Amino acid sequence: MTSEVTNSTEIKNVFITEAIKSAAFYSEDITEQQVITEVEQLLAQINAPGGLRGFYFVAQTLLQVLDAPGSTLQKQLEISDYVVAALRVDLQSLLSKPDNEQYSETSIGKNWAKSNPLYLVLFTANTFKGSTEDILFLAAFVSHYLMNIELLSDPEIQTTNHPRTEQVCRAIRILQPKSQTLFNVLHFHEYIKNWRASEIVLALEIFKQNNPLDKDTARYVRSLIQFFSNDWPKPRLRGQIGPQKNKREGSGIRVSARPEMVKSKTRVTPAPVQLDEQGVDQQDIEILRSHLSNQIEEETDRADYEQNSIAAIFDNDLQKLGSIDITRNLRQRNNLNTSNRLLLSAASIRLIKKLCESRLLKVGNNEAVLAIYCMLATGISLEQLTKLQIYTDEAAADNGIIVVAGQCYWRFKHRVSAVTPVGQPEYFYRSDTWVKTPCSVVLAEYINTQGLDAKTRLFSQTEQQLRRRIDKLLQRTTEKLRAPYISIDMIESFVSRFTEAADTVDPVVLDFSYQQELFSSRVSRSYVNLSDLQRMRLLDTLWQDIASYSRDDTVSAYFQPGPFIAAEEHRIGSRYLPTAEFCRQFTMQLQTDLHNAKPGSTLKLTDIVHYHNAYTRYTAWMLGFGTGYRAVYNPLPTLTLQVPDLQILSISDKDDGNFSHSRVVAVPNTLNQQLIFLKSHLIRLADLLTLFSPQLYQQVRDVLAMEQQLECMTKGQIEKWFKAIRNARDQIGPLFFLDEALNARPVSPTWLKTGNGVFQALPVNMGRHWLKTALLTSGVPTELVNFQMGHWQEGQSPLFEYSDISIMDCVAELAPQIDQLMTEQGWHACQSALL
Amino acid sequence: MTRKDGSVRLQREIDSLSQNVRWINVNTDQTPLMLDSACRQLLKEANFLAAFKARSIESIEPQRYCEFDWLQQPIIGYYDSKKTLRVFAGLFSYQQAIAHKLTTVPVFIYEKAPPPQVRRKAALAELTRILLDQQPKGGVEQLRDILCAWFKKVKVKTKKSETTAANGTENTSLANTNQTDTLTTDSITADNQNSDGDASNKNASDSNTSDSNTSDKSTAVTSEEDSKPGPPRTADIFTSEEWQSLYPGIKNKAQFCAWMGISSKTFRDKTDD
Repeated sequence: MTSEVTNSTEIKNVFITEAIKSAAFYSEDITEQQVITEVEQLLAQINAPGGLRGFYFVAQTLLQVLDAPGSTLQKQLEISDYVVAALRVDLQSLLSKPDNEQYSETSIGKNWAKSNPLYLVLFTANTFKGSTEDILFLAAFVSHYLMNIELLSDPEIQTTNHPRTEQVCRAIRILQPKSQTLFNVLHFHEYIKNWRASEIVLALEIFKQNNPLDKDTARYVRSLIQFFSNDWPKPRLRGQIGPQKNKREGSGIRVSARPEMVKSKTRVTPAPVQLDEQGVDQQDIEILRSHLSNQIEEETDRADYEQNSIAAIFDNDLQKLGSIDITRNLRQRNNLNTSNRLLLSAASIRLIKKLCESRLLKVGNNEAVLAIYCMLATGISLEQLTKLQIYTDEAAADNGIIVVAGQCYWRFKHRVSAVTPVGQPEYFYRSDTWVKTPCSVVLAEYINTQGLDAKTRLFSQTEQQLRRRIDKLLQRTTEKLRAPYISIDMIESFVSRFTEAADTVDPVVLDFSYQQELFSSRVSRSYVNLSDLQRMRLLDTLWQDIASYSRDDTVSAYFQPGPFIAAEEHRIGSRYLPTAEFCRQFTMQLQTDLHNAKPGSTLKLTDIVHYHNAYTRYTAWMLGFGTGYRAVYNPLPTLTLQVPDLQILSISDKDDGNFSHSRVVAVPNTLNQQLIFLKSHLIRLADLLTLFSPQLYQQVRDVLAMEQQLECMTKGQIEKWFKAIRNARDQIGPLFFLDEALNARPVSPTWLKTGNGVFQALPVNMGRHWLKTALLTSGVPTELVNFQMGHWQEGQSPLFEYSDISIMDCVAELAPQIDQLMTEQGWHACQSALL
Repeated sequence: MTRKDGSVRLQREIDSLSQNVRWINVNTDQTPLMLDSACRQLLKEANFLAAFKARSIESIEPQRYCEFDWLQQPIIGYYDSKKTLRVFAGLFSYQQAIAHKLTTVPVFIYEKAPPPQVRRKAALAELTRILLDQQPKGGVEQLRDILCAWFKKVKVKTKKSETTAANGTENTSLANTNQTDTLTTDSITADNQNSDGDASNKNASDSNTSDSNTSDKSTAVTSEEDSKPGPPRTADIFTSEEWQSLYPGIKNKAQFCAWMGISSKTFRDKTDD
């Protein structure tokens, strides 16, 4: 009924008639047309709907606001007194019945909140609080709204969901009704004198600070503050943007990281640039993803054969597009990783434990539960598990579980990744062929009670059978308990994923213990050597972490390896790791050599050369132990790579032309000091040898003055220079030795290897092996160890653009630890005796 | 007899040094400068150039203005067969020239190389003067060590060693000592006795300076037979021919200590530990 008369102009006409009538009282000169224009203008300003539904209430509010003390609204609305007079007239008696109903309608009209926000405010104002301050507040609101309507409807500041006009009007409609107890103008009106916008902002801010508000109210108050201060933020984009959104909506441009690869036969026409209903240009958002190209329509025209044509090689645009490809690969890999790294939730772990507890030892022949248990406890995949056998014979040559004197051990062959050194001296740790890890108490009990014979497989069923059973079992259990589903993959890779995520224990422990291939390269395995005891301790730590993750302390006891009883200590891993005792002896030897080489007071030439060589040797070995420098020619090509104040050093050993393996490492205090001493040693050396060899003097001076020289060079020149001097065999850096003819030669691995007193043929990178193992076993987080060693995989580099690792934090944590390890070995900074 | 002839000839050579000398600017890019072998020999034995008290281990920049050095302490050298300029005097100026990376250096130059004894004497005169004037930072002990390294007891075979030095080889002293070593291996017992006697002599000389003359004489006598390279002895410095020719007014340790204003108790042999 009402909808039919919605657009009736009756109310407006009557109102205009009234206005003309009253205008006649004021002045004779006012034409009808003038009155009509004025009224139309007023209605437009308060954005009144067509039918003027509920105009009675609106008129009442308008009168209240206009009559408010000090109100300038009438001037602002540019309405004459006769219009105001017309507003005072109750039109009810003048209207027909349906129009009358429309006139005093109490329910709001359709879509008012969006299209007639101010009218809606005026309409609902009769439910507002009625004190003078409230009316003044409303007056100020309306006045400010009218004044800034252009700004409010600026497309720049619109959000996607609601226009700003609607937002502010909603705010006042929510905050001002009598039922709203949290917000009251009376609470803050003492801060306001003239009801100017700036005063109101201040008052609202104070109010907001002093009163605890719920989330919604606070938001509306904030809207008002923004409204009165005209301070609108650029809208944040929410929800799905970009490719996904387009895909879901089935419209817009398809986005491809590599357009030429898309073999789309249908030509996708780009949507014309137009603003959507919320005033947002959808295509605008795509610009944010600058690494993606959306110019798909150009490429679809290209014939297949053209894509591989020779001309394409010289086409710059095509090449540019092709080079973007790396991003896609990266994204794909990242996506792969995220999909693969699902961790079991804490509840799921507890559930699996419950399942195992209730079934494993009580119900006979439950290989499915056993498999679940083994997978979670060791991370061995189901495929591998089914191949394992049980042995009692130590000489057996297969992986499996070995039972010796009632003790059960997992036993795997250690995979060696480096060539075994020939004639290995006794001062390096051994590496055994077989790794034994005790089974957990539960598993040992199971094997003993089941009476599994030697030479039988651990599982009698095939992998497929087991897989089906486990799937069924997990499905049944989780459904019964309404728990989230657990897949086999999640169980078998839980331990390794947890290790990687928790970062307290290096994954190499799992690699050693259960023969898991967790590394794409062999770095970690080949640099670490762990004793059984150290390995057990690390596994214990891992299970403590898992227990605290699952919030059930009994988890660790249930799954972790049992107590280790060993007659002799076995070791696994790198064969280049010097023993702790040897490290001490070796350091001592170097220091003794250095001490013995001290020149007499006459500073004979041979003495000076001899001493310098000993000094260089000491420093070079120290550099290897302290920073994990690789065995390269001319280590430390220039002292400018070291920043003594920050305790950092840049290393580019065994690097490529793009410096993709360059790293910044922490320099322990001892080494830092030694490098400072080295500098003054070199200055003195150059002085002493000036007359014997002016060339040498010049060379050393150039090495020392490198920083000043580099400042004058361009980036390209520096790069060229650095590539020449890095690992150079003919140019010297600060570490060089002198031969009899006073020629300076850069330190080489061969030179370092020989002439270390009683120790002959030492592997030059043993410092690196030592550092990695020492850091890992002393409980340094894996991430930091890899930071120091440069053992990162694709996408983990701490120097990459998107990395947020703080080098200074790493250094602050690492340097003291390395320093302590080095001091324990006996290293200390030696001032040169030439001074 | 031969020694006297030699000394006469030497004196004649030294007298002629003021003639046949030219003052030229040398371009170091075209004419490389090198240390003369006699000088090199001295510095190899004792390198004190950077061991004086004024020193810098923080900066590599040259510290002082050196433009007057060419006049006040001129570099003196000669051309060798390879047209390289061999420097045998003005070593500190030469060091400054290298440190300042100068390309043109004014030098006194001889067309014909002076005999090695003359070059050695010139270098020794210069270095000793500077050493005694400035004194190394190692103090009296270092001073003694350096003097001992330079002023060795004149050996019986000096003649031969000098002729080899004239050929420009640098290993003269090494060859020389090897020779003497083989010659006098059977006199070890005598040496032991001598060293004992020397220690007692030294004590005597320390306590009573008037006795020092006689004790010096006695050591000189014993060392005629003994030329084994043992620890150099302080007393040998002043009896050596080179010292006597450079500082004829100072005959023994007591005079030297009094002249230098140093304690004779610190300027002495190291006691064997």
